Amino acid sequence: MNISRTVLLAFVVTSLLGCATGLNMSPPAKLDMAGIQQHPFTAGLLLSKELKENVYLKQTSPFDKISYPLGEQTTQMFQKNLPLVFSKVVEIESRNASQDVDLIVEPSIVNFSSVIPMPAYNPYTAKIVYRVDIYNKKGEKIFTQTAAGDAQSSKGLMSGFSAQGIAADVAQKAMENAMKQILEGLSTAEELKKF
Amino acid sequence: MKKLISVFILILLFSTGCATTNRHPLKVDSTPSDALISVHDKKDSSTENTRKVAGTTPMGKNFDFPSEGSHLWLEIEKRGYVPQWVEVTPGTKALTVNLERMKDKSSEPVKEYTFPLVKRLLFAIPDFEVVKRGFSSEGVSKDESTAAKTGLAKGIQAYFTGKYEVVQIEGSQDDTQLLKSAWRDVRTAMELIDPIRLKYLSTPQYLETRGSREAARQLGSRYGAEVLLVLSGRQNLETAGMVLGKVGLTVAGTAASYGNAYGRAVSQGDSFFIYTVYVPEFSQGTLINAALIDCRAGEILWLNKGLWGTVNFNEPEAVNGIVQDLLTGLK
Repeated sequence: MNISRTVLLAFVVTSLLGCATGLNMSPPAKLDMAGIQQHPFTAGLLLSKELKENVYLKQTSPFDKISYPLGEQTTQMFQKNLPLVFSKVVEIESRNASQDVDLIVEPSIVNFSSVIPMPAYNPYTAKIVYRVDIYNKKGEKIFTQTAAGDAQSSKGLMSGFSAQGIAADVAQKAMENAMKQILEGLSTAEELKKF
Repeated sequence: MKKLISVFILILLFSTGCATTNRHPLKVDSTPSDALISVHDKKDSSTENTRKVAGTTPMGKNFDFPSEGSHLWLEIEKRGYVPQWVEVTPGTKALTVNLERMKDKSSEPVKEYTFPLVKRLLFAIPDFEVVKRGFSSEGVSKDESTAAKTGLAKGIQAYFTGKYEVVQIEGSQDDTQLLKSAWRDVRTAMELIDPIRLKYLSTPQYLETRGSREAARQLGSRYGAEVLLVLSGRQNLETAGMVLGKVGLTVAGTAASYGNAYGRAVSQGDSFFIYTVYVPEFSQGTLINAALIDCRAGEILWLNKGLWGTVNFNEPEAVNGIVQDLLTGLK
């Protein structure tokens, strides 16, 4: 009797607390940005702890959650793609450690939202807003670019068989969309051309 | 075991929460009037995505106070005035807030805000796509997207006829490049700025980067227009295959439910049975965002967004109806 009580209680408690399932997302790709202008500077990429560890929790039922590794994806996306707009990119730990760089690039996630539909055949959507602040060596902010990216996908009536995969794909597409706009904004920024 | 069930019920009750009514009437006014009132549970709470708007001053209504703490914070905003946060309790029956004029860099009160005088309105081809949702995949329909863009452009022309001169951006390479720059910041504004709150924000909002403000200025100057109107959106349409699939799925579900329930009733000798009728859910609809930008300074003058059902963009009357809805408040 004691065992059955313990099992039932454990079941009730874990059901109510819920466990977050990590969403499997493939590593972000290097974006195709043919013809984009590159600035002849060494940029220090400052990836804060808050950004690197950013996880978005999506409640998918009263007892289930999905966690989106937004920080991990964003970090890799900037590491892979920022060299498209700056001739050299090095990672730095803080704004003070900027001796060997011309400017500092600090990305952040402003907000993220996603829809995992019920019934599963409805559209899956995701939206993300990235912000990039650029500082000079004195620590003065010289430019900010915020960009919103969104995406929608579905496999129609087959969606239920790969719901997590679609949710991951949509989130990644929204990130790529926002990232492309950030890169275009950085590439064409007058403030950086005259820096 | 009974104790265990009681604990389970107790946990369920705690997890669902028990709402108690703590509603009290309150009249709010401001000098000057027509200020926006937002309601917060905590002072300076960052609730950009979940802002509760009570209305504009003067107004009176019942406010829901939290059961714990029993106080609320009202944020009062008006263009050109310093925003104010005021704490209210159930005992506060009436409240008048004196708003202080904002000051410029030389400590002089800022001038009264005025909407720019518009004679010619510049209009960009809408950034609009029609998504065809099929049985096992979905994709953007180029032909239907083009038809939707054309329909919307005609609807906009018709709406402003007799009010302003409307000129459409031609789409040269230079124009496209300028628009791309402006679009980047407009899209962000559409996402981050609350359309209702925009006109009450203490200071005007501008396109974020110098590049996009310059793009708006150059476009305005090239076409002799004071303002730029942009629209973006998406329409989801379900294909016949998708509709048939959904109907088939729900018919099969209903039949299975009926069969199971009927079989059980026969075997148990019941005189009645209950089964479930499944109804397909359709997710077709149209989302449109709109923004009006002052070409001279890149100020975001007006924003709006709306959701409609399926719209046939080849039918002028249907398009004119949603354009009228969307542009409500823009005069």
